[in-house]
Amino acid sequence: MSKIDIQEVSFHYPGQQPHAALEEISLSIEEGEFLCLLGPSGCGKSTLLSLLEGLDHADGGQILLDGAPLTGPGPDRAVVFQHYSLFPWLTARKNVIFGIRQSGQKRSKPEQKERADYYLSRVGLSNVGDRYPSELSGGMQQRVAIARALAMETDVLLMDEPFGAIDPKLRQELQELVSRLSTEHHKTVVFVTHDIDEAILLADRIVVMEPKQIRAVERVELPRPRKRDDLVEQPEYLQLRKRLMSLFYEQVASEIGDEVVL
Amino acid sequence: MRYVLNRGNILFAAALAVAALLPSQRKLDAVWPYIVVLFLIEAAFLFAYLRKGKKSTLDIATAAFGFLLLWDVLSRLGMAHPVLAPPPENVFYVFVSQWEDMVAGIFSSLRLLVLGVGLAMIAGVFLGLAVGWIPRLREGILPIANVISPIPPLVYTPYVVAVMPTFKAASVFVIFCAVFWPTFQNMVGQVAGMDRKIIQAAQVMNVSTPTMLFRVILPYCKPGILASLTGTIRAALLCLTGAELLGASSGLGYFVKKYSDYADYTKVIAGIILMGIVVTALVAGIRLLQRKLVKWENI
Repeated sequence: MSKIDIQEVSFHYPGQQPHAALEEISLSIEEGEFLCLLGPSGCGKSTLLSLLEGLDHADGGQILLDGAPLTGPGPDRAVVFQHYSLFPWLTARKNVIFGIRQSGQKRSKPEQKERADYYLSRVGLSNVGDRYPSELSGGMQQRVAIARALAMETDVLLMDEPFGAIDPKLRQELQELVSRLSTEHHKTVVFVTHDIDEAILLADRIVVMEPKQIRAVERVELPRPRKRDDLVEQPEYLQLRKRLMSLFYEQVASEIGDEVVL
Repeated sequence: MRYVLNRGNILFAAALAVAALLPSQRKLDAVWPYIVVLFLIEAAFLFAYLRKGKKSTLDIATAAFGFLLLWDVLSRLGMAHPVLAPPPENVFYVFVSQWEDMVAGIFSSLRLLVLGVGLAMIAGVFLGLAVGWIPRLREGILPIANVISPIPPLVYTPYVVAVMPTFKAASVFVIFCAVFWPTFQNMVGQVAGMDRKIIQAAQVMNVSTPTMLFRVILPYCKPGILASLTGTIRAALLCLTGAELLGASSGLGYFVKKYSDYADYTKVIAGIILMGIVVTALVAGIRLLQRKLVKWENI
């Protein structure tokens, strides 16, 4: 049995003339798999993730998680958004503790604090537990958000372009961090991105989306741990990147009327 | 040098010299309370100016000393109206001769104020929370609130004072109305216009409705609630003193009203100054509360 089973799922945005965002999508995600949803903006990849988050509901088909249909948000999934989603009135540590308590773990107060500090140290933020989000940089806030998601100790981690708003150098550090932590904590990850290199660096499997549909699924066989600097010299990487580029830009080009982009 | 020889200190010295040396055409009850006031202002000025050295502090001191000096000189030379413009010495002496009345007045007013504001804040915040969060309630209640809330409470104060069994009940009710509507509307607006990202972050963590309301939305709105409190307290005090002018037997407004009836404007002016001091102290107290309760924002 797959960890997550997406069965012929459709979703329409409500309105006077509802328009389809997803049409009968089917996809299985295995336990411990790192899956990237790749595509240009507006292709429905974030919509698919919000169905997995439980914030939106499919109006056709169903999603099974561990064999049971998904009906809403649950303590079995943790989410990291693109925007900084920390609560500004709580310190970094208390933000993580909030997640721990919501996940239904039975822990005493000192244990919660100890777990929070452990996960903050996992993302390299051992000494900022008492600071408020407004006192942290964007990258640090996002690391606290990752710590909060990890601390919920869920099997499934959903990430919606989590590094989209972070500068390139820091983004690379965070990608390596997520790649390492998701392996070490045995997470099943669904990661939305529009960055081809990010997808190759992180994913076991890349799902390339086009509006409303899945266009292609590519398996990434590159050995781990992957370093961006080493990857660029490997022929497998270059071939895969070229294939993804053509899938990605063919679709973009057809959208803007076959004009040459780049 | 600029800390010693400046406009503030020169005017302070001048005011002191006038108070001590210029013979008065008018009978003075006692000069010392006025001199104490001069020294208090000077002490506050020096404390603020030496610590921060801001030009505005100097300007404020200049204005305060200049005003007192002018007032004192005019009344000592007999150029001020004998009934309507009493000498500053006599006005500040009221704080000595009438201190028991004044303290009783402060406590009487503050008790009603705290009761009215407290009840209205609790009701406004919690009802606002519920109405803001549930769209159906919001759409039904907000139009009604928009009709009732703009009516200034001062307008129906005389009616309420006449209808309610006791004056205390009437003033608490009037204060309640003055505070409840703005608090309620502010709260509904804040909840309804809340950052969707925060709501979503809470939703994906599977929060229950009570957790969402009291541990996410309420703390999110806390800075806004406290920020509105300063204006709210002023409005409440306005209504309270308005009510006191009509039917009270104690309180700050009553103090002023009683002596205006006797045309004792020395005590009336003292009462007005006292009210200013009380409002300033209340507002300063709220600022302190904000800094204590909202550590995550710079206010």
